[in-house]
Amino acid sequence: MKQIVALLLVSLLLYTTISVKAVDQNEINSAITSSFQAVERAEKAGGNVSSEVGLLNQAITLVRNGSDDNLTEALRICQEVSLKENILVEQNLETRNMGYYQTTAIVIALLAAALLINKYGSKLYLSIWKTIWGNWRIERV
Amino acid sequence: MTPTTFKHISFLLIGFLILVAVYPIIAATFPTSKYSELALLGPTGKVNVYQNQVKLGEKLPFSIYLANHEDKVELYRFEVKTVQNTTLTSNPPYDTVPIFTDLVIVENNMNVTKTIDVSLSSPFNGKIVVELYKFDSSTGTYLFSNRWVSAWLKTTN
Repeated sequence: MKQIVALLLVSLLLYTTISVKAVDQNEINSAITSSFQAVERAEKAGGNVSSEVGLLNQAITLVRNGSDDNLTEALRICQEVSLKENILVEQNLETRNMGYYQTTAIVIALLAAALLINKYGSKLYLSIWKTIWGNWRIERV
Repeated sequence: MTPTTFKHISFLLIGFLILVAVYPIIAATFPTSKYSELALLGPTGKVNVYQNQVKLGEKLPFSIYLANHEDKVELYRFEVKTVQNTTLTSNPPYDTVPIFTDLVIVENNMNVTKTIDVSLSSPFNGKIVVELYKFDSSTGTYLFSNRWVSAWLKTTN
């Protein structure tokens, strides 16, 4: 009975050790490329990805340094970047819509002003001219 | 200024405003050329000023300048290879196993300088070749970008 319990304990210990050392080079390479694809999609949707690019480059540096702790940290960064994709897209959508509405409003306002000036500007200019200089008389000296 | 001149000026103003409104559409229809820049820098950080000899076990006296003008963020992999004089008959990419590989992500219109953190442990006389690969999201693989740089190098004891 004692032997069985000892065997079970050793098995549990081995299982825990193997489980902790989960991150390998292939897994991290795959995590980097899939995070990069998330960044690419977010950028394509118009998101500002500068900080995510910085984070991924940091993860790449950690991978190059290579210890188990670094690999685990790099994997965590990759997961964090992947999770940010939707947030970046949504943030950008709001900013882009606002910018689009503002630009459209400015262009419409300017065109309307130009058309109004074109139609009524000359009359307005003449009436202003008459108000200021209308009572002038040219006399021979 | 006569009313006719006034009308002409306002017509010009309308035309200018229409151009301003339409310009972004025209710019998007005719995109600019897309490319990546790769350069090999010597110990002083300059192109074409290289140290052609290095002691065995000493760090290689090169770094890499990389600039992205691909109109989007790019994941680059560069591979540093040693190519002996005898195998320099063809153009890159060479089949040789790289002595150093690194990844870097560069935003559009940004550049980066990376050090080649490796040394040679056996005698060598030939070219150090750096090949640039870009990650292709559609295939999930790194593709050779047709960009490569090289410099002569000889090891000494």
